[in-house]
Amino acid sequence: MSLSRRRFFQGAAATGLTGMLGSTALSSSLAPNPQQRADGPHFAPKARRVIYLHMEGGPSQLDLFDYKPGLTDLYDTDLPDSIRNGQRLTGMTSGQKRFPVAPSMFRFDKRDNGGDGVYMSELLPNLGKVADELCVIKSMHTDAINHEPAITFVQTGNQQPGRPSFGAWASYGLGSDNKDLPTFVVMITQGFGNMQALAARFWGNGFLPSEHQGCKLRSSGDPVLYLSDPPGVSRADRRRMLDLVNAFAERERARTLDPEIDARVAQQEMAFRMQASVPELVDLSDEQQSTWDLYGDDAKKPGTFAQSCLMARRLNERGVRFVQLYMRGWDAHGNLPGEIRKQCKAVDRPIAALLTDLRRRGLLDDTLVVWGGEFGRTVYSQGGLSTTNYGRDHHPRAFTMWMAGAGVNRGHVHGETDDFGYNIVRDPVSVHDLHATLLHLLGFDHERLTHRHQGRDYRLTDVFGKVVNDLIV
Amino acid sequence: MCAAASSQSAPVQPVRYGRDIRPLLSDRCFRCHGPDQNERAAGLRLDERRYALRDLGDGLAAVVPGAPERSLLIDRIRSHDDDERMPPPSSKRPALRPEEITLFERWIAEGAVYEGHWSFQPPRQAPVPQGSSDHPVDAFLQRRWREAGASPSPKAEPEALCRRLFLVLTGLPPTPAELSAYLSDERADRYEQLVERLLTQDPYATRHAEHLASVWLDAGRYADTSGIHMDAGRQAWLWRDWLIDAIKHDKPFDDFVVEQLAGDLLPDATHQQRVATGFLRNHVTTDEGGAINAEYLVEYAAERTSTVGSVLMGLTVGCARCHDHKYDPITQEDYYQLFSFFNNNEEPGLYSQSRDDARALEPNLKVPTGAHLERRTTINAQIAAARRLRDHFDPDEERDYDEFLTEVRVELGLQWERAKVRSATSAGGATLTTMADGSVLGSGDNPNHDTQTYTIESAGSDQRWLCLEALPDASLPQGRTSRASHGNTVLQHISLESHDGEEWREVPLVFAMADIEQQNGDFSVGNTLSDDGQGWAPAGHKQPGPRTAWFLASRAFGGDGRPLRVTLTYDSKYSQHVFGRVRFATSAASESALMPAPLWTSGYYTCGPFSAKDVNTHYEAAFGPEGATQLERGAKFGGKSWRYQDDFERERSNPLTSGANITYVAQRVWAPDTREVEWKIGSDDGFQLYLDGELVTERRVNRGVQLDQDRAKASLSPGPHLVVLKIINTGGAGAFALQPVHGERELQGDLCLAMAPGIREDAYRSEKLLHAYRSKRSPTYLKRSAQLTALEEELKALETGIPMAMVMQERGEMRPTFVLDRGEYDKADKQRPVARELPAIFGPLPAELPKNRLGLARWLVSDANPLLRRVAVNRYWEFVFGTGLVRTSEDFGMQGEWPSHPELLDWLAVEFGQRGHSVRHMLRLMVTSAAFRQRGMISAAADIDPDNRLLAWFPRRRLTAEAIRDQALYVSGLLIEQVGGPSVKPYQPDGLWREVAMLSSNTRIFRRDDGDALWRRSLYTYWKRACPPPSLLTFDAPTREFCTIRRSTTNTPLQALVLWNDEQFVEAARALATRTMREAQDGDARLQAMFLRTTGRPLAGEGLLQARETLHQLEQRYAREPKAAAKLLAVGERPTADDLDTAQLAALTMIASAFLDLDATVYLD
Repeated sequence: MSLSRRRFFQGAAATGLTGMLGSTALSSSLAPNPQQRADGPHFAPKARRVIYLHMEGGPSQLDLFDYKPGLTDLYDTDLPDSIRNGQRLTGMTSGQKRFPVAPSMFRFDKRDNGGDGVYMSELLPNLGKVADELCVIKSMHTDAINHEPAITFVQTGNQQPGRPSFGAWASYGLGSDNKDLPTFVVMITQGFGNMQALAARFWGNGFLPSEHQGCKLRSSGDPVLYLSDPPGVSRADRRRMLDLVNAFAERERARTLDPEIDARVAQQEMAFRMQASVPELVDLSDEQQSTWDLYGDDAKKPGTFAQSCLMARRLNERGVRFVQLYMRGWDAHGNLPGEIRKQCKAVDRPIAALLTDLRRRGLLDDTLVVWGGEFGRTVYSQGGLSTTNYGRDHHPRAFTMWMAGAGVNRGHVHGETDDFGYNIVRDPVSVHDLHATLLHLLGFDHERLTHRHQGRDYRLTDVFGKVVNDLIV
Repeated sequence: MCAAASSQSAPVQPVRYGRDIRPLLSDRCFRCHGPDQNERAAGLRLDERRYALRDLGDGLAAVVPGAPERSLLIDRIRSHDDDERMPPPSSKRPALRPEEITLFERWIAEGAVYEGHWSFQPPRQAPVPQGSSDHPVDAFLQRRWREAGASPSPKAEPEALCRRLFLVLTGLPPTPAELSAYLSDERADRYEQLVERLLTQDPYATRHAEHLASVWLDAGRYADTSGIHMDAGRQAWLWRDWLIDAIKHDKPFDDFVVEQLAGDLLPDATHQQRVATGFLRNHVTTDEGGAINAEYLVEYAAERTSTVGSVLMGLTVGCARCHDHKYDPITQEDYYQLFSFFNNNEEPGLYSQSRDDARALEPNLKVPTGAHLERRTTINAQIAAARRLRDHFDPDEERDYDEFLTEVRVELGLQWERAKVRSATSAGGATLTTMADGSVLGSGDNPNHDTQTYTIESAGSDQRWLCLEALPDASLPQGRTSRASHGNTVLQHISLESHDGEEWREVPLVFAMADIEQQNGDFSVGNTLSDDGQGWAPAGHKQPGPRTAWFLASRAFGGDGRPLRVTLTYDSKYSQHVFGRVRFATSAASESALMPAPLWTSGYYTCGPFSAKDVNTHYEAAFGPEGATQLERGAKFGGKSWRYQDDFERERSNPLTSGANITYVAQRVWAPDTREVEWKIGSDDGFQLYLDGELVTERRVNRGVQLDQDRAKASLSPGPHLVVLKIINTGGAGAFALQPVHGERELQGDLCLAMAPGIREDAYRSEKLLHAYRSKRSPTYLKRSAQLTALEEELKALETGIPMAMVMQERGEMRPTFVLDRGEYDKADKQRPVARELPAIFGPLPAELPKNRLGLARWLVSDANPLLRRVAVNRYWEFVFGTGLVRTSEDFGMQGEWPSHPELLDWLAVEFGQRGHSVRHMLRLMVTSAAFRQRGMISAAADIDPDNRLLAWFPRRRLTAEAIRDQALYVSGLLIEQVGGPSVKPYQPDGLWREVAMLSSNTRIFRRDDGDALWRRSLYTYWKRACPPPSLLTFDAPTREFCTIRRSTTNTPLQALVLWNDEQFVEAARALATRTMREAQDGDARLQAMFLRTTGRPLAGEGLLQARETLHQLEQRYAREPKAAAKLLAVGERPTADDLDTAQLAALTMIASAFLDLDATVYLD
């Protein structure tokens, strides 16, 4: 097959048949084949990789980051109507007669962030020590009040199922940096508090080609589904079998002239390499003692958040584009202090360790780390209230997320909420704004990273979103 | 190079607006200069000619026909100035390329002719072009080949064509026998004959229906779970089976559509027509506690609207939910008019949560088969007959009953005699009058409290039982037994004295029974035996009728005309709770034993919880109650006293305070005689059991409670006893269960009436006793009752086994629809109500059609709708050729692609309508074309048509996810061809559902099926939306959370891993190797047979050499390492053949695995 023909196959979408064929156009250049990938970044990216720590269930900003010392005096008083201001409630508290203010029972410490300082809860002692890495956004807000639509929204830019996830967009936009591992990897940790459902759509490809869907790295069984050869099949057996398949493929290629066969051979070879690279990836025996000192011995236990964090670093150093960790269990409608203690105990040290580890290996210079849930929690208590026990309902109007790493405005604390942590009073950041900003760091104009589906050019930010320049440098 | 060559060879045709210009305008210009009035810039509209030509001032216009050089549009698109250039950089739209600008110039030069969008014009059947082919499909294709200077490929080899046809139509390859039969068929029309057979004859017709169904399953977003939050299981498969049946019987496409959109609204709708509406119910639903009903009602209607738009109209109507469509002539009003057809379903927005993972979400429909109905009728008749038989009290049974009564009395030595009343006095001043029947009636003063003394005389001597009967009387309130207005009584205490000639001496009463004890509260009849003020209440306010209590004395009394004195004390806090009419009787008792008399027990009392400082000493710590020998109600133990627990029940575990603590539970027990008693005990966690203050047994354990975890035995003397259970809870929930084991002969419940006097004379009590006897003792009744129960169970099983469907059902009162501002459910624009109507571009719904889904459906399938037939035939074209004539098969709107062969598409659309909407006819037409029968190798035409839009060769493509698995199962002989029924759960890796599910989701735990269910076709695989079947998903199956018209085909390493290592593919490889070893004897023959089976081709030459060499190496390896061979052969549930050489089988299994992985196997060409 001629070189020119091959180029045609690869570039058919972009070449534009209209010009080639004059008025006998066979097809409009506007409806190209489903694109397998976008055309690369629009400008030089700050971040080349992302580690996204999703705290499923909605962690309480009021007990972690949004310090409201004034609330102590307002314990068990009714939240003023002027603050609640017609906010729609979930079906879980809409029947509640009172909305008593529940101050956080936890101490907050002012942490050095290389600037004005940042208040962080006593529950996050280790993260506090690396506060200078963080850009804390206290003014996140979302449109959804329940988990399913809210997670779908923060992961895909839309509340209803059907759109590609952020990780899939990143894979579509940036492609792979490692020929032996998937581009987008997902890990799930079971939590200690009230757990909500996850769904494949949160890391799904939506209408993008399915090669961009998140590949789950699992802590039990095969780390990647179907990775291990069956019992009784050795590496040499697999090689023999694959050589045979390739030999047939070569003849088939010659017979049909179909370049897709070359692509398939390449993918099969990558599968073969993955069978070696993934076990090597998950084999932690090459880690130094200093790693365990950093992450703690929890990181030796499969399935812990600590081990997922360590794995995230290993994936990151191998060039995996997008690593997403889900920590379940932040949905504390009741018994919040007890639950959040356990949740924080599980995540605080590993996250701080991850940031430290990435920093000392130089990886944080081009890696973006994002932390946050799908919404925040209410200042008023759901159910019984005492000074040491309370619950909080979902709160979409204000919550806290943070970013760290490449291109991030370190030490910056963005936005502000009112005295009740209920409404944003300065610099609101919508989920779309966050997406636009994150894509910007990855080198994309969020309005131009699009995919044609059902006659429309879809993008992660739908028709919204603006880059928040204060968050980036 | 080729571009130059082709532009020279191609004849220059006029520019066409629809094909060449409008797509460019639509993509670059219409966002700001299109139909959406909210976004229009500079007052310029380019979507209609009259606006484009309009004078913009200074005599300038965007478009001046015939004069590109004077047209502002050309000026602006050619401009290099960022402030001038269109589209502006701020739009983020790519600039127009030079060749595109040239097209604009030519178009304006040629007169700037606009034309309506092609798909909105009715299809017209152009004459079939004259040429070398009389097959209409080829005739149209040939014309394009000629125009483009391309030529078709030679005919495919017959074996390749045969395999292609099998796979395209049925999703399964031909067997070697089928292939060879085809090759040796010498008829001239052997191919057409094969087409016919595959489409119409079983098993092929069924396989074809199953294969074609999966296209519609994607479009209809069919799945087995609800998708959101709990992602609960749902029963929806009847719709899937309806679909298979419809395809198999070539249901005309118009009926196919009408039934799915409005089957419920058809006159005399059948079950099946209503099942069809499941198409509109397959969308995701929520059951998330906090979700808002109104919001999801809108989401469901919107989902139906956009699915119907995509699947049946090829329009992205969903875009107009928030604003007027940017590209297509659909306004927001149009959208909500369409939406309102689907906005009136009788459904909740927020579904309740349920344990039932086979629930058909409401509205639903039970769909019994004929067999179900027949069986139900039979069982119902059998049940009626069995009930009649059971309820019939026949003479034999009556004789048994008499014997029972006699036996009881004989055994207990009972001989009741009425006592004669000598005198009766009331301390409270009531008038007590002796009646003719020997009873005493109270009247006159009605004191709040009273002590009544009756002097009576017993007929016999050596009496042991005293019976107190409380009788109803017309003079008493409500004609009941009490003088209190609401009918209840509390008898505090009863005492019996006997006069020994000198003085009254007490006769101690040690045991008591009563026919009725009030259940809520501490009112056991045993309370009357002690003088602690609690008493017996017979629930006289709850039910009418007499009451009876009888008391056992510790020594004999009566006889010799000596008087007896009975004192009844009514001293409770309840006023006037005094029996109004009483009667006494006495009886002797058996000297030997009182066995049928039951052990009498009170309800439960608790004391606690207590906590000790050190949990480790809880068993040793004593707080007092363990030492109690009787229940002292006022006694204090560390400030705590006994509390009666209304809610606690026997034969159940009862909850106690949680946490590390100690709770005492007490039950009072009265024994009529000396007897051994056994207790059943359950506890959370450990316990110690005390009887009358003495430790009987203990158990130190941490556990959850169950009814019967431990047993303890003790001997009881006649009279009252106290059982105390000390529960030691070491943390978490606390609970206990405590219950004496009653002997089989003990007269429990109403059976105790068998001991009471005068039963036959009293209709009320005799009926209760008879009922108790029959339901507990009568051998006849019990036998008949068991027969009835068995039938009722069978009916229940039958009913739960009747499949259910999710269906559409209109609400009685129409839900109003308004335009929703930005599409948000809570922003209804009350100024803009909408009624059900078609989008304006199609004109109004004809008057003769109803304004409901049925009317809409009928319009959709009518000639007035230009889209449906085109969309449908295009979808079948895509099914056959991999790509539609309109490549964007989901979008026929202005952003969709211009058809590669517009006249052919229209010709097919009209043909479809004229041929009774027969899908089979259309498929037959397509697969019998020469285009379908040409070679699958890429030809030289790729130089001018790399995408093969001209079909100059057969478009080879990878099989679908389902077909890849089905083929592996089929060629290995594993496939179980069973049509329909509930979805099945074949192999998948452990733990996948659990990772993502809610704790209480009914689809949290994946339970793999066994046996045949492992090897069904993939369209029957259970589809959990939050975690779809992983191996299918890897091969590009969608999640089914929304309508998918077109799957992408990707190529990833994960696909290789599935084919190599997924248990079901390894098992298939072993099964394929096994059958091959049986069918062929030597190595080469085996390789050739297996290759033929998987690829439909002979294996020879270099391929055979390589396969032989690899097989040889593997045989040696597995012969050296038999353990490895055994391990490989143990994968999968299908038993391994033990008569074959394991090394050879293992080696051939690896070759089979390789053959299942070949391009020639997983590709269709």
